Amino acid sequence: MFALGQRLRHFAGHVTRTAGAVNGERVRRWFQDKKAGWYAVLEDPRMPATSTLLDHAHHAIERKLFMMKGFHHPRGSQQAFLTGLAHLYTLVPYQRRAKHADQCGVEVEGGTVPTRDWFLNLQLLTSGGFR
Amino acid sequence: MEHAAKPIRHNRTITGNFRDEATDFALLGTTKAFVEFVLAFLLALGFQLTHKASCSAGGSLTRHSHYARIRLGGLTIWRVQCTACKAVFTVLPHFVWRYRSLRPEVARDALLAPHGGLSLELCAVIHHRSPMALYRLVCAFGQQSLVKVLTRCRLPLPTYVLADEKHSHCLTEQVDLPTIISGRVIWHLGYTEHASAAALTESYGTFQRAASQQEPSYRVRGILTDGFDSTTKSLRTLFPGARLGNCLRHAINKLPKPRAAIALPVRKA
Repeated sequence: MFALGQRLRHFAGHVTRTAGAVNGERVRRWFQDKKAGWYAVLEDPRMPATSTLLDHAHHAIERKLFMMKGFHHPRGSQQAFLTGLAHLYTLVPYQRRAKHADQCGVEVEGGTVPTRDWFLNLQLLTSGGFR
Repeated sequence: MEHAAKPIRHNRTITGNFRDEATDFALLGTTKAFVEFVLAFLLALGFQLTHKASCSAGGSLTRHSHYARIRLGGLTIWRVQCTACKAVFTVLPHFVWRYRSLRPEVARDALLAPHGGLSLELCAVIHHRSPMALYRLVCAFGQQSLVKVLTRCRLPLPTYVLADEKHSHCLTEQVDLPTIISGRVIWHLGYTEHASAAALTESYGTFQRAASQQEPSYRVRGILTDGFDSTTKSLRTLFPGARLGNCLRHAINKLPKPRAAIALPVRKA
């Protein structure tokens, strides 16, 4: 998957080196004209190339919603419930055999949590009195 | 008869980490020690309190009124007040929930069980709690927006994000869950009953407004989508300067199938 992005980027670079900057630019323009969305990914290396991490999050949330079965409250706030699930997804640490064992999503992304206790963190961070 | 508009009551509850219940009980007896403990805790945490808009931040905290929680054996809950704006903050010990008698250790186990894959119904059987109590607990966490909570964790607002919708079901309705993530962190998880551009703009707009409130100069530089038309339109409306990219994994699905190999005799011929 990642190889496709790299290969297309390298291909444009290869054309620039071997056939000159004009032809390299032509290939890049072809990407731009044909597939502006792909080109946007190739142009900026900081741009994520695939939606794999988003799919992980979607699957995790979907599993929990499926487990809810009949517990959707007809007059409940679905938005609040989903936001609560998202907080849990972000703040519950990964299991001990995982790549980022004992770290939560916030820590993996460079954030800091107030304590080592995930549940206390959840209580502190969702308190209404803090700005 | 016209009624005067009821003023909105802000949730100004602070959860304090008192280590154990004995420390909390000991502190409740001494006013000065209690306020000093709360101040030290706030300094250690590094969070700002939600004062009133008019507050000049020059005030200090003083001990305010108190009340007793009968269901928790008459536990005293104290409030502190800002001397400048008069905003009152309820200080809850970490072992007490707002409006709930649930013990935190029970809540922790009951929330871990569905996270590990158990249904709400089953974990309610294990922990002797009704599924609706757990549902309400998760809803209580959800009262605070994701952007607020994540910026409290000192995470910078994301400049490159992934955005997509998840088709799901709520009771008998088909619904969409517009999502914005950056890395392993969910920055927005919305709920819409239609996948139209207008509905998605409304949902993604919640994130945009929350982020702009945190940082008025906030700009998204790049957004990766799966190329769904309504998503692209709504994101273009909300983030006009952002570069919109298409996921390469979705792009592979659109590529034509590889050509079948040409047999050697045919090639030779």
